[in-house]
Amino acid sequence: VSAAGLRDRLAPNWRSLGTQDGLAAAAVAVVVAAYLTVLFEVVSVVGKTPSLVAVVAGAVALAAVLRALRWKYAVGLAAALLAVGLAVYLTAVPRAYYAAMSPSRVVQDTIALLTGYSVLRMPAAGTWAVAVAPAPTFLAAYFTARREYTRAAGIAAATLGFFVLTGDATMTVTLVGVLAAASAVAFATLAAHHASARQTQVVAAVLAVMIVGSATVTAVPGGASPLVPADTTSAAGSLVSAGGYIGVGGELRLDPQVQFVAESDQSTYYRAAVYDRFTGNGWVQTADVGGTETPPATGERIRQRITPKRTLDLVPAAPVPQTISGIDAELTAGGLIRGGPTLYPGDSYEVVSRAPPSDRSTLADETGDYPAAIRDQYLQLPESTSGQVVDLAGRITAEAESPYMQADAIERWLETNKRYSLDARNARGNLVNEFVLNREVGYCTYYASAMVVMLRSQGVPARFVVGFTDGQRVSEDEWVVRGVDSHAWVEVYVPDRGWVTFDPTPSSSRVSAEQERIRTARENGVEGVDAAGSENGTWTPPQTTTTTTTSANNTTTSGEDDSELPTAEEEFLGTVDDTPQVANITAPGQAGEGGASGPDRPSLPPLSTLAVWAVLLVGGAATLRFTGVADRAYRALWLRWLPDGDPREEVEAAFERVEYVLERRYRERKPGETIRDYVADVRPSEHAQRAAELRERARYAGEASGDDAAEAKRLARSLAAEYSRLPSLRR
Amino acid sequence: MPPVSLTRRGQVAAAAAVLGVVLGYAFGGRSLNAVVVPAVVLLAATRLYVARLPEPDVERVTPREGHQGERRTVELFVDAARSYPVTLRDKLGDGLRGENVHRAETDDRTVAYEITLAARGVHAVGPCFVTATDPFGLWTVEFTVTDPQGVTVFPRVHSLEDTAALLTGYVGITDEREQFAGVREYERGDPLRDVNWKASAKRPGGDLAVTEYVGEGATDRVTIAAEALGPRADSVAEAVASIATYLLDAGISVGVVIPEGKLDPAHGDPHRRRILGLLAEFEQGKLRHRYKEEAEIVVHAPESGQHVSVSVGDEDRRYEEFVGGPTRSRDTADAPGVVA
Repeated sequence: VSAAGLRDRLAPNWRSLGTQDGLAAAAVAVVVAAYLTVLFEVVSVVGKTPSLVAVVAGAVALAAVLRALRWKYAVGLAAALLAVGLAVYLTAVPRAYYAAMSPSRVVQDTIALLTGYSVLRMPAAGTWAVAVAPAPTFLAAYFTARREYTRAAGIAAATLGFFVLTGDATMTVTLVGVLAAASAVAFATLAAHHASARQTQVVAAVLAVMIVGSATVTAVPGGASPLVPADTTSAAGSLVSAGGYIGVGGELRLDPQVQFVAESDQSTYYRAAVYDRFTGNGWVQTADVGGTETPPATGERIRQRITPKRTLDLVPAAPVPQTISGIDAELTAGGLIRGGPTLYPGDSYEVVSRAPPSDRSTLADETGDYPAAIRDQYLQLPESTSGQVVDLAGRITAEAESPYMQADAIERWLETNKRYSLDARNARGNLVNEFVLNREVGYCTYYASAMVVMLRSQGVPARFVVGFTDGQRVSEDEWVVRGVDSHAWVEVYVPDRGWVTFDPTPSSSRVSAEQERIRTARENGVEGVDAAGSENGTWTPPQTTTTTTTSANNTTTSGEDDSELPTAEEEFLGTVDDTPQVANITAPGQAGEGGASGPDRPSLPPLSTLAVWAVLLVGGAATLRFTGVADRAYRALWLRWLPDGDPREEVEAAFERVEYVLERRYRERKPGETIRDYVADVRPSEHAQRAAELRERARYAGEASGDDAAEAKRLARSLAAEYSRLPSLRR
Repeated sequence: MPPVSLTRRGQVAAAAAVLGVVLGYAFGGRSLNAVVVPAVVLLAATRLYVARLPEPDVERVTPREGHQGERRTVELFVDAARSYPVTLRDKLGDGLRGENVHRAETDDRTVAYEITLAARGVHAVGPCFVTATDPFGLWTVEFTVTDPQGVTVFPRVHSLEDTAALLTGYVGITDEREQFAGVREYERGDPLRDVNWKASAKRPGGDLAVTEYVGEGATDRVTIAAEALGPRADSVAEAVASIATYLLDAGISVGVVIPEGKLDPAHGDPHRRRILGLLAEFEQGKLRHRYKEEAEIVVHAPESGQHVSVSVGDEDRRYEEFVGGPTRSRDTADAPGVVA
């Protein structure tokens, strides 16, 4: 083969590595980025970002090196990478989980993931993310390097599809990924066909229609519009819902209707769900929450019978349940109710609970070690946690000597420094940073999240609990609990004692907000606000020993405040002597993010939203271009807009318009044909002939007065008007 | 309008949409709407794109002929009333090799590709199957356009320059006219310059006499008969083509007789192409004995297929003894060495 022949054979490859190849490769990169976004969110919660960056970079580099490999081997290598990754993951999961591993368990877990079990809920989710990231990334990069963009996009899109099914990919990220996959396929096709720019316009137009369609049509219900940034507003009527995830922040509209009626020995909080993993703006319940055995509870025994009045997804009960009867549910080693059925009105169950001791004297001096399993699970902090929050927590707890005292200090700091309001705005970044450093107002989830994060930052295991407060007492042993009573609080692990309840939310403001809501609902005649005689007012014990902090409007209860749990708090509020002063410590504000970081600071929407809008705009422009609308619009404007200036130029410009109209109406002027000949040949109207005459004089005789210019413009306008009235499609 | 069909990736998109709806309704919406709706929109929009596609207009320029082993260029001009991506699949006959699948757009462009003339014979290029698609490649529409065209592939021609002398003795290819051999009676077709006027004058009855020279052999008209009983048809065809070409170059009228047909001796380029064209179709088969008897040169391959022999008069030689130097076909890269 001669050198020239060789060059000829190679040349097409060099030439065809054009724009469309570049676009296809970029689109594949966007699909990969879409699923990596999900993985990066996971690792940012549990703190393995550097490892993920490293493995992704490694996978891409490996693909670049091995791009000459036969594809069967490459797929085999990817499978091996995945297998090795999952093996590494198995070494990282808790022992108990590992021991329970079996093929059927793996299948079950996979099905669970594919039916919406968030990746964030997996034990050792960070290790999992690092383990699974390299295989698809390697394959996608490998096929891209081989210019097999369709395959690369397919691999990446399938991976993204997995995260769509687990529910971890947001609407916008999903849409970006889908659009990028479609464009990768399209640009690969166009590159193979050496297609013209016209086909690229079609692609852009179709992508725009895809965006418009997904924003306006709901084929599968649920989920937000992809055109606005995702908002974690709790839209539910109650904070308590099954699903393993609870978003914090946003406006909260709680339901005033009765959820259940409880017969109980004493007033308690009703725990419904425990969350252990904080993402920055939500709480996730991992698979092994409550799996660790806790020290036996030694507190008072409480017997409760709970009768739901509405459908409940979770089984509320006073902590810590020891036995449960009446429904089919199991208790975990850590004392959580697991696997309970959905409860319907008319169901009823009985729970016997026994909490850790609640008296300060017993708990304040406990300084033992935490079990390793507790430390592994309940000290997690998202990477976005501000150092200032950690510093602040350190200052608040500086003088506290035991975990209990640390928790107590933070609880009091939050109660005194933050104001309760259900209308708290949502934060786009880390909600705890915002609330602790900048915001003044928040409600229970803000307080509880902040307290857990601050405690964890000081090495104290803590977790986020959702459930119901005690509700309205309607008789000596009967309470009515409504949606407005749903609440979030904190459990702190006290060595050798177990999980002790703390509630950092100022109860008085909360109670008045709740009662306001119930009153409005009653006035509006909302159904189901009352049960078991609650409309008749609150039963008050004959001799109340509680200090009532609620000032006004006590239509329902004073017992709201004297729940069993905050006794410790009340005991110490008066005794200043032995508790450190924390109320005066002030939050520094987020100076690091630019001084003007007020709560209402405008911010850019996320990149994915911007990307969708950009594609939409480009697609719209391409549609205009493809259909010729833009060109026609320009021509229509051009035809009517006549420049002002030198009379000669005006005459020339006017005739340009006249000529354009003539050419559309009769025929194009041939190259080399003079205007005089052309006009003589097509025989246009007198107006047009007059315009040609004026132009000729202006151009060759240099004669053009202001009157001539005005006449030429008038002629041009009348011709243009006449032309645009014609029922012609040839425009 | 030809039928529209969904490609594999189109099926994947449709499956994703269906699966998304099913899983969405069964296990919760999640972000599946952002998968399902774009997928459906994509399928619908692209289906609309391929609806009523104008028929593509394809014109082909094919080489008419060439020697075995040569490479030639086929050109396709594609156009349509509306431009869209197409895959052109030019059907190539058995004896032709080449990359015959080409992706293009119907925007008045030329697609050129090379074919290798791999086997002797008359082979078809075409018809051209045009698969039109949308820019995403989700739907295809099949069109069949342009009738097939034929390419005649001649046998390879080897150079016999070096060993030509071997043939000289048998068929009398020489310009030596010095040595007088004798006089014979005039026959129709004899050149006038060969008429021996002196001898003619002496002859009674006014018949003309013609001078014969040494080395002139029988005549300057040669018929080559050829048959391949065994599997060496290609070698036989090449041998006949090479000898015929050599003789024609030397100014001798050459005729060929093979089982496929018979050409009387003649001169000239058109005749040369007729010979090569006849030899293009040469195949294994038995030639009638009478033709072999009448021919001056017989090229023959036995059933065993060991070698090709050339019989001139009573002498049997192997063809490989004559062959030397490079083959005369232009592209030597793909031609295997000397065949014998």
